[in-house]
Amino acid sequence: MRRRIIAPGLMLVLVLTSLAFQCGGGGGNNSNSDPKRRYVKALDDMAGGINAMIKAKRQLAQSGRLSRDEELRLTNQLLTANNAVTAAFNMVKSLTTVDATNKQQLVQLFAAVTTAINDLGTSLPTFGNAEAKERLQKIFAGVTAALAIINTLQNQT
Amino acid sequence: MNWLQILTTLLPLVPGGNEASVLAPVVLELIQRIKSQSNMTTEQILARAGVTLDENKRMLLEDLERLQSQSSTGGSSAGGGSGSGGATGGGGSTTGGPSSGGGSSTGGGNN
Repeated sequence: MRRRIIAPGLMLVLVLTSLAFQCGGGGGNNSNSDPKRRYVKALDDMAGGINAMIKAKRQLAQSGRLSRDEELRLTNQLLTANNAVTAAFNMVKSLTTVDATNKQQLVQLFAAVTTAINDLGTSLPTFGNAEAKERLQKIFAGVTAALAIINTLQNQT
Repeated sequence: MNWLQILTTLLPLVPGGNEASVLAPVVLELIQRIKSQSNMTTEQILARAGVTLDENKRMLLEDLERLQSQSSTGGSSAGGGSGSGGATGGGGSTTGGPSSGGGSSTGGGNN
């Protein structure tokens, strides 16, 4: 009975969080029309998303909702994802502008990010504890929303 | 309309009571992070992302070490470090760019 109430609730949180990623800040002083800035913002979203997943993972493991093996697997996948995002971050950081001349390199780096994030996403539904699964999937939705922004950007540049 | 305020108000009302309120801080922290980008320069966002990626790596390596030592000692439940606070500042998050170089082991794939 109680689970029937929780599931739609968590679904609503998931939708609201995804919406937050899509809205991502709006106007302000700093123009969103600069492609480099949009890449940087999406990378910052992903870094924050991974950070949130690490914190959630620790909470869930401490409360016994993740087994040691599940936590170990998730930790390795998060590390791979974080490394891929770091490589893309280092590349974007070194660029003064994002245009057709460096697009190919970016495409390659973000392909690695996409693979790592997808691997992470496919392992979440395999967790035994329903609450752990739902919580991590909710935060993960934010990371994939940031990835979707990157994919859109790559089609535009 | 400030959608962040709306979200903040709505989250505690989400059905599911305790579960929603436990996860709300992590979600809100994430939303705040995204919202704050509009008041930051690109360089400031870059610097923050670099610091966060370094922090992520440090936390994950810590966790790996803990999990591996648990397996060698046969420890039962997942206890250990929730101490995520620590060195969040990482020494001057804004323009201190070089600190992000800490993620050196990942850079290899660039070329």
